[in-house]
Amino acid sequence: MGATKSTADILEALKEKYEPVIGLEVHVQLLTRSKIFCACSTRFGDPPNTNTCPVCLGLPGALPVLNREAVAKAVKAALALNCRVNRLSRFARKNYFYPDLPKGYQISQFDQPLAEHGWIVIRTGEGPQGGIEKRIGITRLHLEEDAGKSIHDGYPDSYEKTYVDLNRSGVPLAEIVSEPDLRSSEEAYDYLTRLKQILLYLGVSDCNMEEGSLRCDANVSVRPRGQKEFGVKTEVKNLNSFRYLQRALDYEIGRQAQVLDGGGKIEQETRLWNTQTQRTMGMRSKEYAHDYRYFPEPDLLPLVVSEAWQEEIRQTIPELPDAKQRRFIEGYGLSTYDAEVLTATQELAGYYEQVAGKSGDAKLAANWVMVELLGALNAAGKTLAESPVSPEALAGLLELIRDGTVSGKMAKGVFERMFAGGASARAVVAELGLKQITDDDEIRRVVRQVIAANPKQLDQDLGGKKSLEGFFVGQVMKATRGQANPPKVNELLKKEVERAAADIFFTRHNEIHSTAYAFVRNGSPPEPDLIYADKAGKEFGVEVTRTYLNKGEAKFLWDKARKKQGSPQVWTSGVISQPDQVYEGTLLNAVLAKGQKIYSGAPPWLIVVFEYPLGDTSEANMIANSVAAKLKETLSPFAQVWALWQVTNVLTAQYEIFRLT
Amino acid sequence: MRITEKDVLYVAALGNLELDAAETARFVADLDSILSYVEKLNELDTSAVEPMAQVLYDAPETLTWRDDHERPGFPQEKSLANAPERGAGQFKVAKVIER
Ligand SMILES: [Zn+2]
Repeated sequence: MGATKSTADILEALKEKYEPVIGLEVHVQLLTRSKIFCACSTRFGDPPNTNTCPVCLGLPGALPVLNREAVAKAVKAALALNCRVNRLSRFARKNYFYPDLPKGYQISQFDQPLAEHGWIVIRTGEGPQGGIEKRIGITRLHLEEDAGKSIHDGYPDSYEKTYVDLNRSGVPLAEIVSEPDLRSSEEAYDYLTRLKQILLYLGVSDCNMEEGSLRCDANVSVRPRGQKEFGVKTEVKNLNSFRYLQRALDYEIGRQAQVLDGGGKIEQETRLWNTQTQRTMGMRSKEYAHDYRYFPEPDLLPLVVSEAWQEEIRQTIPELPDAKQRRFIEGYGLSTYDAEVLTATQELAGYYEQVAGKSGDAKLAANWVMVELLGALNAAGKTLAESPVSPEALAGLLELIRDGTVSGKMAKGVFERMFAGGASARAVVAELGLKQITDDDEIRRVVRQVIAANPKQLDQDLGGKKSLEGFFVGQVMKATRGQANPPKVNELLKKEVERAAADIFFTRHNEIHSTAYAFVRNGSPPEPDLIYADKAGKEFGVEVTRTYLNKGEAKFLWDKARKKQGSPQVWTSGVISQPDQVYEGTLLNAVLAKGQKIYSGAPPWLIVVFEYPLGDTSEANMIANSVAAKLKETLSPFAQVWALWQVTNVLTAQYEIFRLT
Repeated sequence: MRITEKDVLYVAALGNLELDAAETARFVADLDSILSYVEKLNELDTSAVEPMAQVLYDAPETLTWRDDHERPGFPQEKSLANAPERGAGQFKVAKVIER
C-alpha cells in the first residue's frame, strides 16, 4: 500500500467521485406586529409568556383568525420569487407532540400551499464576471405558525426539566422550499444569501438568524457523478447560521460519500448539526415518527387571494437586487463585482446612489463607499445606519477631491477625521489648515528653497546620479506637510533644477567672460523656459536640456570620474570603457533633438547639462570641440549652444562650460 | 376485520398512548365497527361532490381575516395559571428528549 492519505485528501477524492444534491427548506418570520392567528405581539425579547392568549396557548375553544398582513407579506415574497400564487390555498393541521406546541398540532399548509413553481437566480463561484448565473427552482412557499421555544439548558434543574416560553407560538412564518437544484455547499450558501437579500429588499422579514427569524434545514443526498437518479437523502436540521451551513453540509456530504464508497447504504433520517462537535448526528427516531397525519384545518376557511389583490401587492415590490445591479452596471458604468457589492443591501445601494448623485462622479463614489466607508464601518463594528459620515458629507469630500482642494491621499486623512468626529469635509479641511497647494508660485518658492538648501544633492543630480529626484520631491512634501499637489511638484522640480543649472552656468560664464547675465523670470510657452537679461536689461531666452543615463551607466561614470574602480559596462551605444566617442554622439544628439523645437522671439541660448562627469578638463575640451565642429554644418535655432559639464574631484563638484556654437 | 392490532398500536404510539393487551383488543373491535359503519356512506355516489373540510359560506373577505393590530396578551401569571409546574416565568415540563 502507498502512503497514508490525509482525511482532506480522501474527502477531496470523494468529492470528485460523488455529486451532492441539496435542497433547502427555509423558514422566515414575516414582519407583522401581531401573530398569524391571534392579536398577541410578535415582539422579540419580551418577558416569557407575556405575549400569549387562549389562541396561541392552545386553550380549548379558542379559534384562529388569519392575519391579513401575514398573507400579504407572504404573497409579496412569493411574487418576488417568481412563484405562481394559488388563488385558493388551504390550511392544514400537522400533528405531533412536543411541549412547545400546546395544541398538539401546528397550523400549516400541505397539499394546497399558497404559492408554487418559483425560482431565483444565484451567481455562484468566482470570476471576472462575478461567477456563473444559475437558476434555482423554488418548489413552494406556504404559510404556517411558529411553535414556542423550549429551553433545555441554563437552569438549576435543567438536567431533568425543560422550560417552555410560548411568546413565539403563533408567530407567522413563510416556509420556502427549494428544488433539489443545488450541487455544492457553496451553491447552498449562495442561494441562502440571495434569498435573504431578496427578502430584506422586500421588507417582508428581518431575516435575523440570531433571533430565529431565518432558519434553514437541508435535504442532502449524494450520487456517483453521471448518475441520473437521486441517492437516499437525509434531512439536516439546525443550520442556523451562514457560517455553519456550509460546514454542516460539507460534513454531511463527506459522510454520505464515505458510506457509499465503503459499500454502505444511506439511511433516510433526520440529522442534527452539532456546532460543538462539528458533526451531524442522527436523531433517535422511531420509524413512524414522521407521520404527521395532516388534515384540513376545519377552523379556518380556505384562503382566497384574488388576482386584484395579487396585482395590488405586486405594485409594492421594489427594485430587486438583480435589476438594481444591472442598472448600476449600465447607468453608473460599474463593474459586475462593484455593482454586486453596492447592491448587497438596499440601504447601501441607496447610500451609494446619493453619494454618486451629489458628487457627480459615480466611479469615484463607488471606490470611496466600497473601500473607505465600508472599511471604516467594518473596523468600527458599525452598521451603515450608524455611519458618522452621511452620504451628503461623503459627497462633499469627493467634491473637494474633484476640484483639487485636497489630494486623494489627503482626503483619506480627512475622511478619518470625519468618521471620528462627524464633521463635514470642509470643516475638517479648515480645522487642519489642510488645503492642497496647487498654486504654482507657492510650490515654486518651496522647490527653490529645497534646491538651495541641498547643493550637494543638486550636484549629484546634475552629475548623473539617479534617484535624487525622489529626494527632492520628498523634501518638498515634507516642507508643505504633504499638501503640495504631487504632479505639480514633479513638474516644477524639473523646471527649477534646470533653472538652478542655468544659474550655475551663468555664474561661471559671468566669471570667465566678465558678463552680468541675470535671471529675470520663467518663460511661458512658446517662450523659452527661462528669460535672462544682460546688464542693460536686454532680455534673452534660455533653454536647458539634460542628458540622461541609466542607473548602471551613471554609477560607472560617477565612479570613473572619481578614479574609483569599476568594470567596463556595455550600454546601448557601445562599451563605456572607451567612452569619448559615445560622449560626443550623446552630446550632439542632445543638441540636435532640442533644435527641432520652435521658439518665439529672438533665438535663445541652449545649455546642455551634460551629466557625464569627467575628471579631466582637456578631455572634455576635446569632446566639446569635436561636437562644435560637427554642429557648424547644421542649422540651429539657437543663438548660442553651451555645455555645462561637471569636472569633478572627489570632494566637491566643479562645473565647466564649453561653447558648442 | 379491517383494523388490525398493528394499526391500533401505530395510532396509539402517534398519540403517545400506552395500551395494554386488553385495551388494544377492545380498540381493534371498536375502531373496526366504527369504520364499518362509516363504510356505509360509500354506498352513495359522491364523485361529483367536493370534499368538505370547512363550512363554506358566502361572506365578504373581511370576515375571514383580521387586520394586523396587536392587543396585550395575558399577564404572565394568567398565561401560566394552568401550568402543572412553572419556573422563571415559564412552563416546566419533564426533560424533552428529541425523538
Ligand atoms: Zn395569542
